Amino acid sequence: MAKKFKEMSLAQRIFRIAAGFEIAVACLSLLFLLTFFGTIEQRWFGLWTTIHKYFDYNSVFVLPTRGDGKVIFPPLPGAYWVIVVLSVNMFLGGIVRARKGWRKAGVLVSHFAILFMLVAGAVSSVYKEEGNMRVLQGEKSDYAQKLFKHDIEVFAFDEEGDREEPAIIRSKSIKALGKKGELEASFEKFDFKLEIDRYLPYSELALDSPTTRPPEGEEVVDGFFLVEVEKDTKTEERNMPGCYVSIKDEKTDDLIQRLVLWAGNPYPVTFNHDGKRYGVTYLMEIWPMPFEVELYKTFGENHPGTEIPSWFQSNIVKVDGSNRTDYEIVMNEPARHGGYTLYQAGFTRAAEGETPSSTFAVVNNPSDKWPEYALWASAAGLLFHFMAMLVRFIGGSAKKGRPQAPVSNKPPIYRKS
Amino acid sequence: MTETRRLTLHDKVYPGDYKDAPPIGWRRLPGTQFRLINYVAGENNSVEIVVGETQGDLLANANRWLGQFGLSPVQSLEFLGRTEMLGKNAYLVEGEGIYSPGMGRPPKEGYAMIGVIRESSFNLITLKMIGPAEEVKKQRDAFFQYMRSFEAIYDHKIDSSVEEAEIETGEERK
Repeated sequence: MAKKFKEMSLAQRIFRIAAGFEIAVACLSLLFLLTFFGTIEQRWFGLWTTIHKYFDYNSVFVLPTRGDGKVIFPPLPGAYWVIVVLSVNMFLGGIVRARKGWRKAGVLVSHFAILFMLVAGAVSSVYKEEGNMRVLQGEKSDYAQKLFKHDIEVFAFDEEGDREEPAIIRSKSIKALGKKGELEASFEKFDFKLEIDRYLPYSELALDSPTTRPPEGEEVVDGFFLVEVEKDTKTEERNMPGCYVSIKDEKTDDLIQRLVLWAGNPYPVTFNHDGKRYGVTYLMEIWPMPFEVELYKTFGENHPGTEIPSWFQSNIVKVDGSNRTDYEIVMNEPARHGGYTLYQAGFTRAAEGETPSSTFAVVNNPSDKWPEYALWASAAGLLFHFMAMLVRFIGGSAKKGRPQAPVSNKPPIYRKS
Repeated sequence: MTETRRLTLHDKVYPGDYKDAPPIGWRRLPGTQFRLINYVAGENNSVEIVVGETQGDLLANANRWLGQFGLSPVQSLEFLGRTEMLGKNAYLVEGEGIYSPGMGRPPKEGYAMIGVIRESSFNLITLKMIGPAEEVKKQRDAFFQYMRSFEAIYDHKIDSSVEEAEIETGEERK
């Protein structure tokens, strides 16, 4: 007979609580609330911002708010950490504490599969890479860009005017600066260094002119200056950072060139040093793909009277070395190849004289198929369990229909006292 | 910083799909709405070299440029110098004197301009150098060398699309 809670040791009590149904119910209720308020909040703040607010591992607590900043519910624990607790609870309660044996094998498999699904989510949140690849019809691409990470790339031009491999200052180092921080970056391959002394996470680049004058005290470089703007909370990818940098000689510290960089500028700015030309770009992180995508045809339709696509399709060829594979990518039917998944994220109709384009969301997720495997395993486990119960039920009913066995003369084991 | 990445087609993307090779000494600045490619050169970066794409009539654009130097408009393209850019006919527009840039900017004396406008079926490609007359004179050879450096790039096009582009640019794939 199970011990009463009061009779348990401290370790047993902790285990009992950690593995109990109460925690599972609390976690599932919290996940319901987090999903509910997250869904409401994304209306004001956009999907990207809200997902990160509610599901990021940095979010220990979440305060559901309205678009005007008014709090609409008491603080809730972050979804990532709720799922961690639920996973531990599931492991202890659904696997360690659960009764073992052939009769419970199906249930154990199902519990294990659900736990595996939660682990898949954790792996995905840490290791998943995603970016966007925009391709014009009749063109090809071999890279995607990460919309929310902006790197600075520094490269030399060769004698033909082609770019050489760039040295990269990653978005993480730049973002960590804040508005007042400074960063000095030296490069193995160059004899100069780059110093960032003013970083604006949300900015626009303006041309100094009689109609657009810089604010008092604002630095103007080559006739341009940065203007700080409000963060676009709904469409995160529209936020463009900018910064002022100095290129200095590594040894003498002499200024070679002062530059203003802005992530909305699609082409590099250049400087000359020791008879060679160098380029600097501030851009959405380039993510090279191990294959090329050739876009032969993109087409689709919008909902009547709107710019919202009702369906779209891209006919592509994926080129991997000498292998060429045809794909038709439509809504919710992505192309999968070597661990990469290409979803169609959008298409642009072309005005006369212009070329239509497709935008693909590229995802590389080591746990991409794990939830599917978990669902199959869970379904198989439950099927096994229900079939076993059905067989036992039918067997029990059959026994009831048969003549009863002769009553034993032996005394019953348990007697009423 | 030691991090790098392999080169991709992104590194072969050029404004208007035209690769240029500027002389050492010219420095590229951010582009603007009307300045696809934007360079400065000469003493104190006083010379501006700008590449743009525009629509409209070639003659009207040439006369607008002449008007910025207070020069009389020409009645026909025959009065303009001829050259070639990206395998097609292009016209030379030159001026010297007081330059009025417009947009509220003050006029500048002693300035000079060399401009090139290239015909195209979709739009006009313009290349213009403006600066103090002495500096523009020094950069003249470099300017025409730069004009000849333009090369249509097809690396990012599927083979079947290249033919159409070749017809447009008049340049064969290299």
